[in-house]
Amino acid sequence: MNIAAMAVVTLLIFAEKTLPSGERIAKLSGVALLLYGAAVLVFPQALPTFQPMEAMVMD
Amino acid sequence: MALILQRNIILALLIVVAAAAWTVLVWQWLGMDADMRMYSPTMGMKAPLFLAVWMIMMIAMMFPTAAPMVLTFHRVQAGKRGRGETFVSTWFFVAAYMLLWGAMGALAFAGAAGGELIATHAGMSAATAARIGGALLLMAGAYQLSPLKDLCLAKCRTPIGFILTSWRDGQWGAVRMGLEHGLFCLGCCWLLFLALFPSGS
Repeated sequence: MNIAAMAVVTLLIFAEKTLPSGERIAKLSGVALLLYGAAVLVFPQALPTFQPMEAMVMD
Repeated sequence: MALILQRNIILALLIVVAAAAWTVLVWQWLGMDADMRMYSPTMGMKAPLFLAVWMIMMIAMMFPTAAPMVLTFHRVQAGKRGRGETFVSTWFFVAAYMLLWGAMGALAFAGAAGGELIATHAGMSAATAARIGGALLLMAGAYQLSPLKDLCLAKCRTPIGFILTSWRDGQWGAVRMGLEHGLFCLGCCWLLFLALFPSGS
């Protein structure tokens, strides 16, 4: 588990459901997720859980 | 018992249970050492432990956001009680809501275990695993912009609307409403939940 990611998602869900601008927040988060997902596809290292196995094999 | 007092007790209980769940998660996380934080979809857990952690996560994340709905449900039931009509305990509603999330947890475990099996058999490289995580993030982002998400969010945002259009009497009615509301909540956030797997270890 990544506690920080969980906290961010909890805040996001709470904001979506209770704030007057919740629907807009949902859209913005969607765009942010798309950008982050695309970044991970191009640079897998962008994911905090990335494990550079190749480095271990070379040892 | 005055309605306002009941309301505060329910709200306090929801918050205390959610806070306890967060405490367990943070305490667990602090106790893990670096290589235990290594990524795997089931986090190396067997089904019962995975489900327990899933439910703790769900309580930590969903109880605060479900509170308005639970309180609205309770207000209607308290009104019935005040008029001497039959009423149903609010916990029927909460239990059904949690049951639905538990079922989703079982599905998530099946998916995670299956993914793990494929990954070990195929000898997947770290970069491929991370790209699958990226694809999951893309899916979550696209879902946030989809009409289905709009529909579920609209239902979740207006507890009064849900009470007016989907009210059912009796204990089974409360269970059904809990399941139905849980389904809309799930419709709102299931991909956000799944997107936690690649980002979380």
